[in-house]
Amino acid sequence: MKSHFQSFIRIVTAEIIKLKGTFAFWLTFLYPLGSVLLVSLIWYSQRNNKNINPNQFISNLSNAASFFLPFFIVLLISVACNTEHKSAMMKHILALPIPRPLFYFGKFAGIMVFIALAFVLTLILAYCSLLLFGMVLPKLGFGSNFDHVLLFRAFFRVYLAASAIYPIQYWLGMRLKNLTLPVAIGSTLIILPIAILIVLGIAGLMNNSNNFTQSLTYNPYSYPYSAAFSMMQNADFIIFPTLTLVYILISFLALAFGAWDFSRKNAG
Amino acid sequence: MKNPLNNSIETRALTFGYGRHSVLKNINLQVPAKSIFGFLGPNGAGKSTTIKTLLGLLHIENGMVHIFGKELNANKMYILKRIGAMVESPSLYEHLDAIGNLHYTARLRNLPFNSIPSLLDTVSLTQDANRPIKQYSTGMKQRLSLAIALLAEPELLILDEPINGLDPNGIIEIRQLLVRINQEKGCTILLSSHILGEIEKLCSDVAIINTGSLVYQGNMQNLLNAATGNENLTIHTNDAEKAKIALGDRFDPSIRNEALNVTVSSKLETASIIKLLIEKGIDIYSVERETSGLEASFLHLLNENNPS
Repeated sequence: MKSHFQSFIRIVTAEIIKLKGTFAFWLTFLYPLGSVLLVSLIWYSQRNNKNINPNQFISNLSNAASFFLPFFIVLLISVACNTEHKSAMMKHILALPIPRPLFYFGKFAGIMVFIALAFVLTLILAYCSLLLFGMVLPKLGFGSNFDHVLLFRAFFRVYLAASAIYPIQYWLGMRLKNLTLPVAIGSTLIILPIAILIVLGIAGLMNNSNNFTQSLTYNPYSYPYSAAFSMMQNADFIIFPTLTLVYILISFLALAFGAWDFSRKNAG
Repeated sequence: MKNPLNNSIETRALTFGYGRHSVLKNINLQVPAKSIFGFLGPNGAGKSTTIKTLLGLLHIENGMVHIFGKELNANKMYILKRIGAMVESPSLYEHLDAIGNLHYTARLRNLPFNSIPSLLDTVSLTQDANRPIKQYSTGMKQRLSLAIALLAEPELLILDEPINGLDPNGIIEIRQLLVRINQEKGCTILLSSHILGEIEKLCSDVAIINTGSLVYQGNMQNLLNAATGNENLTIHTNDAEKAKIALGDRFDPSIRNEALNVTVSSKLETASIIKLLIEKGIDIYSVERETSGLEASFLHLLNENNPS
């Protein structure tokens, strides 16, 4: 058991070191920077609006982060998995004395470190942005007058809401031996439900915004949007609503299924 | 059959296929311990598939694989710890340098990094150790893959086409390296290749696979001795016409591009021809053999088992 744990740690660290300097690595910085910068610039352009307040800014930040998060996850995981496929490394790795499920879990954990890093960076950049607004535009009252816990809770909930995407996209990335296909499938799963709902809305078949949000909850790839919308509607949101717990459970099942599938298939 | 304990690898009725397409049919392979074992076969014969089954990359449908006397599936981790492998094309992370790639495998195998400089030196990559792999030539990639396979100081080295893409100097270097590893460390080496001349120079034992079935396995010398195929000789002399007359009806020579072409069935006939020409006062500039002994045996065995 101890040696398995040590092997697991070695796989995780090897994955982190290997991904350094790849596109996946830079994505981890681009995603937080892009989403925080986008909201900050929009807010800066609306700085003369008297109705703005820090909590609204936090809500906008978490919404922007939630919009980009599924795309970031899809791209990061697909690129990370493709490093093995494009270099024909999988057969080399599977010929090493490492149990296949252990490698599957270890690589997943290594990728999750980058996602956790993106979470921390988003928080840090959001804080920096709020503090900067407080210094540059003191009349907005951003300096110390914002809900620190809300900032953390809002981002944490969005990342948790995406929990089922991580193992599903990882399984797709490991299963499909190229970059295009997992990215295309992931992007379609993100966009298609929203596109259908927009079409239904334009056609006048869906007028109630609650129905719109509700519809997104049934697709793990668009659930982070629904989580963000519900936060907008209710400031006292809970981090672990029932559906998020269900998706966390699904994520464990998907990870276990992926490990089983990875172990049984031929590495030809 | 040799004693199983003397074999590093032994397969029994190994069978594998993709769907209905049967790739390996009843392969009974025996690789003697501490040998350099050549695994030959035309493209698509099943060489790489056999190697993948030996490494547990493909799940065996029927039959057994024993390595170091232990059954593969039941002792996979024990066995893989003692094997270094290079399967098909070199497997390397292109964005990393040579040291990064060696560190990656060393970390996964839980090996110290201190052997890496000497390994790089062994495969003549010390000067290029910090260059990204994407800047490497095919030969350099092959050498680095070999270094990675050697990281764990394996008891068994399985190399699939290790001299592909190497220039003549590179081939000689790899050959000398493999012989040294085999002699100094007693490492068994199984290598597949379609460069027959190289296999002939390097290997003590050989197996030939064709359309998924083994058509020969045994000692290299026995295979060469059993060669029954004819060889074509091209002889350059100072007077091809005179040489043709000298050899007369016995050898039925022909002249092509001012050189004499003769078909012989044994090395003795080659010696007789040279002797005869010298006796007739004809100067011999060169005698070229169109096929090597192994090539002749290889082609003969393939034709024998594939009459169509």
